[in-house]
Amino acid sequence: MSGKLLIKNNATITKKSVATHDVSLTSALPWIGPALILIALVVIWPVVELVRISFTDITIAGSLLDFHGFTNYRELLANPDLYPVARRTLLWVFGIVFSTVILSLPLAQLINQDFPGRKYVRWALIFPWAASVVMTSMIWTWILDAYSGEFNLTLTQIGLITEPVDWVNNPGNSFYVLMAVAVFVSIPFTTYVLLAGLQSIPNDIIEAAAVDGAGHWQIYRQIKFPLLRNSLLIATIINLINVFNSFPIIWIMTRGGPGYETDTTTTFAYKLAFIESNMGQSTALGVFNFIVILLIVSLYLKVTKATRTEL
Amino acid sequence: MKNTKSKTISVKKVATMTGAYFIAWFFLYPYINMFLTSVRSHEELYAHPTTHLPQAWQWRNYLDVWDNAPIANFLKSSLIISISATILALVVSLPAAYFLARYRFKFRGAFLLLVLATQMFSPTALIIGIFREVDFFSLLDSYLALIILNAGFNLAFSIWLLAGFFSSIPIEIEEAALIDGCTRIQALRRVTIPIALPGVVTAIIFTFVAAWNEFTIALTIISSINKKPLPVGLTQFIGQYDIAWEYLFTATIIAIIPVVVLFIVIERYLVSGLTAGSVK
Amino acid sequence: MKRPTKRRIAALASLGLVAAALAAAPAQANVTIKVVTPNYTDAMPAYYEDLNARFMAANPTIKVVHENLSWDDILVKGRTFISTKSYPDVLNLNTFSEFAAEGLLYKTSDLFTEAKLSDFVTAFRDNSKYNGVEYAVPDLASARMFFINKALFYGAGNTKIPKTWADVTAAAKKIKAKYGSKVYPLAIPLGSEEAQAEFQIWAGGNGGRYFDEKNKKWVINSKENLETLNQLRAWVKAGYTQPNPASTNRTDAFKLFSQGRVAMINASVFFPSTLKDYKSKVDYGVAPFPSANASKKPITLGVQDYFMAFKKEGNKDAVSKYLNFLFEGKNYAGFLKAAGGFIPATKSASTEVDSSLLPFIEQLPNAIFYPGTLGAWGPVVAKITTQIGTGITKNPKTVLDSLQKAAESAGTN
Repeated sequence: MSGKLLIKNNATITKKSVATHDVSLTSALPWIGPALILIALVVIWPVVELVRISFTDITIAGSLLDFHGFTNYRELLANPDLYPVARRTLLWVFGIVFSTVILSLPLAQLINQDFPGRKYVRWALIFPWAASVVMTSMIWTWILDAYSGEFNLTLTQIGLITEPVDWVNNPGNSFYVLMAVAVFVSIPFTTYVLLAGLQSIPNDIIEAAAVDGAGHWQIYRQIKFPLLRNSLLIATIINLINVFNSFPIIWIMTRGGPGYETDTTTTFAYKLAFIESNMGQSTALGVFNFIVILLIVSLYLKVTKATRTEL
Repeated sequence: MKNTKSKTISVKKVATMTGAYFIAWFFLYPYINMFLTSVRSHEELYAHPTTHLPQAWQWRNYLDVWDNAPIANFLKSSLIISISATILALVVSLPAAYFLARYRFKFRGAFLLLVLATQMFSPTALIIGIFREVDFFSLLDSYLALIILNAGFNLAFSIWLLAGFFSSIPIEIEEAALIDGCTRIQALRRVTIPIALPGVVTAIIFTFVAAWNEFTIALTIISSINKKPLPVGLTQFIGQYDIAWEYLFTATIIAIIPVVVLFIVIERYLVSGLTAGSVK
Repeated sequence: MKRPTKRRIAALASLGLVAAALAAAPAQANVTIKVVTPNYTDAMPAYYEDLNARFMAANPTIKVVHENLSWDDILVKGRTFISTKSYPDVLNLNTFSEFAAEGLLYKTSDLFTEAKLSDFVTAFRDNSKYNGVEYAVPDLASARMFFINKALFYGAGNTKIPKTWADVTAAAKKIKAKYGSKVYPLAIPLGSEEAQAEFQIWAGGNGGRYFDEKNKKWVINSKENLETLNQLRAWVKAGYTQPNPASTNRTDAFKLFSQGRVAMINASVFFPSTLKDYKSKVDYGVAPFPSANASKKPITLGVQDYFMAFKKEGNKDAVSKYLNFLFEGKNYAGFLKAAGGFIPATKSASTEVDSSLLPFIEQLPNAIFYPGTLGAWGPVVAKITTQIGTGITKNPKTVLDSLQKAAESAGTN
């Protein structure tokens, strides 16, 4: 009860302190103009190119010929390989984001506690974030190698396996191993966002609840978790985007193979363009991916509007 | 009573510590393995059965790698590109974020949408367009192109984060400075930005790390060996039928160190920075 | 020690360049050519650094901008260069015909004298033609043979080198019986690195091809190819191969062989030098590749890569000089050495090869080649490479049919 009251007060205070002067667009330009120019140059221009190429006839060697309408799109939709890849992409995105969040919540709780050596635990968590995903994928490939990887060596020595297990390549588990590496890479950022959320919860709320006789789990569920909701939503959405666009993990560990059996739409688009010289279908898929992303953006805006009125 | 309480706490603490140390080890594990691989000889990499620790610690790899590839040049390029891109992103995003936080104007929503949408694109999908554009401006094989591109692709996070920060700072503080005779810019520089410092630091680290690890654009835009940043330069160790893993990992460890040191120095700011941006 | 020396050379070279450029400037305009090459081994960058410095010193009006890329990266960057029309001047790659088909390349007769051209091995020249005209020169080539780990092979009680698929089965059976799961009798790497070659060399021994040159049509789903795929499946199913052949890359299989864990493997001419790099202790023998049965002719698969030059305003003289310089005796020998253990593409360089290459060169008369002269070959081979391995786990007929369909829609030009 007291907790809820406090949050309400907090919100009122925040709203009051934010100025909402209405100003003309021209006076805004000196402030936002540079950002607009940079975005137009760096993102909008290549996007326009992408859309243009997707409506163009393009040769095997990659030369652009004439405008030819929706042919690339029709060919893409007629490509039977697209559909399993699209289904797998859904598993990829939602499986990874869900697992990441589920694992990051208790982890954030853990490194928010005070214990000797906490600083070093936090530093350790920083490594996967600081190292490039390319190199992290390479080292996991190396560790999980069926014949000379350290993982199988360890499992053999402690007697869990007798035959080497081909973690990365067994058709049965290949894709899940890729997903696990993606979760490994996503956890640090997510945990830090949630840690930040936990730290922003005023101690007096929790102390008050404890005095009222609430248990740890009760405090977490009824006070901390609702207050974490905003950071959780933001972490989730950023993860959705990053995981959807994720390329290096799959590319380095399996090339999306065998066949297209571990491809997502992102790696499939790349394979079409640069391996199979099918730039037409690839750009069409790029535009489709863009539409999916736009849907995510709308969702994102809706969420942020609902929770962060001041922005 | 008191005694039992402190006892249960210490048991709980031990459990917490054990769990936390195990998790820390888990996240460090691949990089420890990378380090142990980097000090093996090439021959040992292909030995069977393999071993947990190197048979002979070949520290020489850390010296030899500098002779086998222009690592110093790669590092220099990476630093120039990442630092400049970070500064550019900051210079552009600070005023935009401030204005977004303090004012309402026409098309503000559209601008926000645009900013957010830019974060949703992977450079990989846009690479052909990017190449054409850079060629159009005759900026192929230049640092400038990479600086602008890296700044642009990471602008969204900066603007979004900083705007959240600025709007959490009570405007009264700024108004007080204005009354004291500061101009708006001065008030921003002397009062608002220092208060928002954790947010600024967070934006810096995000942009820097993203630029430091960027691969696809750098691969496509840069041709001269001496201008290649580290992630692209490292591919030199990848031959057609043999990879010099020991050098690849040696150079990767070298590349990770500056970023981790940067992280360690500013970790405190990072956490409070994320707080203000995300939870309001 | 290495670095300062290199720097000094570079400094001297650039000093020389400046002086030469100053002297020559009034007479002639400078030409810059962009040379893009793949990283056969990590000795390539140093080779080109030296070659280009000497070339520029000898030709002060030409500036060489060189980029050496890993094989993965050259596909991406090469594609980007072409589709944005910023062609390199000289390109070293494993296909040429799609560029020739679009009229982007110089004929080799524009770049080399006939005397020089006649020094290239004739069979390789024939593979460098598009519509009967040579648009590229071979840079090096490989052939494949059957490598056997003698200790494992003879230790299991085998006495005769396998000549047919049935012999392979019999030998594999003995090896498996003797060593159990510690050793894989046969490695079949059908991962996306080189699956097209692994499949072709087995299929070739059954008379199977990807393209019927005589009737000008794709024959990927032929009876011979299907039989081959079924045989490979049978070996996998019997447990004679390493697990997951569809995901095993050539490099992984080589590594297993070098560790003494594989008894029989298809490997290329450079494999002995790779084994040396790995410091492998395996005592191996090389034999002609087994064919399907006694009535079928044993073959080897010849593979070659190409140097090509793109037509650009005013670059013809420079690219011609550059390529001729590269193929000069000493320079080309250096190229072969840096690339590591391939078969030379010129007759003159073939006289001084390492003795380990000789059995492979002897096999060349039996070599079959990819249909690399087709304009559509590039995209078709890419698809075969990524998809053929799935024939091990999926329905082989369906896999071959879908590849056939993709090839047919790519055309036969």
